[in-house]
Amino acid sequence: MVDSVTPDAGFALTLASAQAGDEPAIVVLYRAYNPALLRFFAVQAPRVKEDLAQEVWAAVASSLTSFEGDEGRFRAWLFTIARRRSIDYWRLVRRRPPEASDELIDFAQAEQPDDLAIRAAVSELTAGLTAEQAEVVLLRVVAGLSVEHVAAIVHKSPGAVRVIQHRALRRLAQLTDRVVTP
Amino acid sequence: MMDELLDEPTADAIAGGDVDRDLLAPPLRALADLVDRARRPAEAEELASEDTVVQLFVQQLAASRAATQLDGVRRARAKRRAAKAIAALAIVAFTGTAAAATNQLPEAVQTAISDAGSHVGLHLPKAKHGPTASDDPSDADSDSDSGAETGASTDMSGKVGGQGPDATGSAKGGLCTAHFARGATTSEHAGGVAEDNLQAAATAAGQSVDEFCASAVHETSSSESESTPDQADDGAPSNNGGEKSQKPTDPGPPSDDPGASGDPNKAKKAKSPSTPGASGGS
Repeated sequence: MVDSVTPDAGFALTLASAQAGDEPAIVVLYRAYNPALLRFFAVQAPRVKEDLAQEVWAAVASSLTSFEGDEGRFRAWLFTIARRRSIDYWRLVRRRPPEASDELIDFAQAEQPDDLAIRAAVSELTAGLTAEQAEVVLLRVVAGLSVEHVAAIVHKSPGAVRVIQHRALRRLAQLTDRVVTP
Repeated sequence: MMDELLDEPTADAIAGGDVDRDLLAPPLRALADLVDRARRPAEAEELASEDTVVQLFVQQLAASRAATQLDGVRRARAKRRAAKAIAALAIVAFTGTAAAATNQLPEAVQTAISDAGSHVGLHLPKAKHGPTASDDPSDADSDSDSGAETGASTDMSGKVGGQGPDATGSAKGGLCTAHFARGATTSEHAGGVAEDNLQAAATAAGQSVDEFCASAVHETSSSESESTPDQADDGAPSNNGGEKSQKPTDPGPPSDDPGASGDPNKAKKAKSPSTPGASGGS
């Protein structure tokens, strides 16, 4: 396991250096956010998670010089791009987009079962949830976004996001309770 | 039971990783553990593409910055071009307006600018007609209201402001012919400055205008008899030089009919306004 690089403290400095083309600063950003991107895509588009993550970084690179904001905004921007890439992917393959609700995600039929422990945990986190619930949980838990940022990304009110999140975690708690206490 | 344990604020705290596990009910601790596992630090496998992605990132960033700088240069060039164009336009507009205001532009341009300016409340003078303007009959018609008549008629009538012809010089014959042509029925100032000049010359000679002109007409008659017989007063060819030579010697009685002078052009010009019914019936 690699120590996570969290640029919270000196995010502004790291961002400025990365915008200037400083490679170590870019590495810091990559190490801080790429794992979350891959975990997000592991649920949303498992077959192409690496490709989509690279696309996100390419999109960030092409617009990084004009980005202004704190770490929270940068994280929200990153996952806004990620979500769009995921939707575009599903549109491209003419599959049902993951943002659609009312259908449970069946990870038993996942395109590419993931045996990595961390992604197994992510799979467990979203198992049994609707796509809408899974998306909110991924953005809140895996991406580490605030309710307000999630609301902005999924085009819902913060209140609606809290309701979705509450129902999702209640469902997960029921599932884990069953596992814990069979 | 789970509804009672997990209210909305607690769910929000668990999702955000901001929760004290000791305060959670045992079923919720398992949920908090699951959330923690999903947020674990990066695995080595998750950073396996670091070199590739970072190199790609650096290249993309450099390209983006170059494009941004190029855009900046283009924008600066575009701004400079626009500023030059605006300056040039302003100079043209200023000098054009100044030239138009002083009536120094070519006739067509002056007229166009004057017309255009009148639409926006800018009063610029109309085009001045030079001697060549009389080539176009329509020009003369259009300017008749302003009094800017063309050619010799301006000098002869003297209606346009100025000194008028010198009645003691070479214009004496023409002025006198015009005097007799106007006759007694015309008003005193029908001849304008020209008539005044003629009157002044006659007074200076101690004669009346008729006496002063009588000698002038004789002088003209004698001089014209020496000219080419085929050439009429207005330069038009004539088939009868002898008849032409008779006209100045005997101008005949003053008449309202300019046709009596034998000049068909003058007749046409004068008849139209005075006898519209006659011309219309012909």
